[in-house]
Amino acid sequence: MPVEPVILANYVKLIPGARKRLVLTDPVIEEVTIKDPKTNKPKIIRRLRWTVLEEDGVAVTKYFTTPSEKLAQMLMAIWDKRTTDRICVYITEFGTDLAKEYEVSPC
Amino acid sequence: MMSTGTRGKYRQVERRWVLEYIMTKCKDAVYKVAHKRLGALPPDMFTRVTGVPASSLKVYLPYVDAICVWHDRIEIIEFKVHDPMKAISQLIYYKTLALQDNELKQFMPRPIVLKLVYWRYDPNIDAICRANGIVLEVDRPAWLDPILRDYGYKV
Repeated sequence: MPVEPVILANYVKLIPGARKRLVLTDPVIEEVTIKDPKTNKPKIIRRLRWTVLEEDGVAVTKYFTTPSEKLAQMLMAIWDKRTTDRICVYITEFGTDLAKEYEVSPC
Repeated sequence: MMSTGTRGKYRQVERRWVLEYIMTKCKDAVYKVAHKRLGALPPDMFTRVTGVPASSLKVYLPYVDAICVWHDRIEIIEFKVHDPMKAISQLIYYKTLALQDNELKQFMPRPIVLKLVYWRYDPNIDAICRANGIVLEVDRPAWLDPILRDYGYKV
């Protein structure tokens, strides 16, 4: 899959099949209005937003957001068992659309 | 009008259990992962299904709840709230798949340990596990009790 050009890179983007190491903190549930990719109509969704401190070993100031309930649950389970104010995780995304899945493991 | 059905409110049980287990009991493992798709896709899959990225085809593979790789072994772990007998055949199948898995190749030839995590000790389950070379581990986080009671278990 071709990687889209990124100029500002305020957000971490997962690339299908590629394992990403992220150091995350401050999870927040936010409500945003998006354009539904299937109906093209606006809709309000809730998503989990993290502040990213490190991406693949490099210190960054970015956000990582996910509207996926499955991924949010996995990350929050790790967050609930944290011993410091941050968590380190490996996330691999694969599949698309409704078949999208995530492999998650703590570092 | 759409029926509301009889299904109760959705809550996370197994996903949380697996991740918490990995965070606490596999903390020092060399490699650990939750909900891993195991095995290799059959080569003819790529000719039968075209126009779909290879990473999407992975969803055809079964997934194991957790894998923890230690210096001396690879643990394949299945968690069960209900029906632990199912895990016996699942774990035996996963072992075969693990031997074909590209990501796990780097950790071979460590011996593979199959583990069933269940919330209570059952001597019959233990016996069938032993007969099939599976380790039965009892793990019952405190938050699981009210959920088990909701399911009708006497805990």
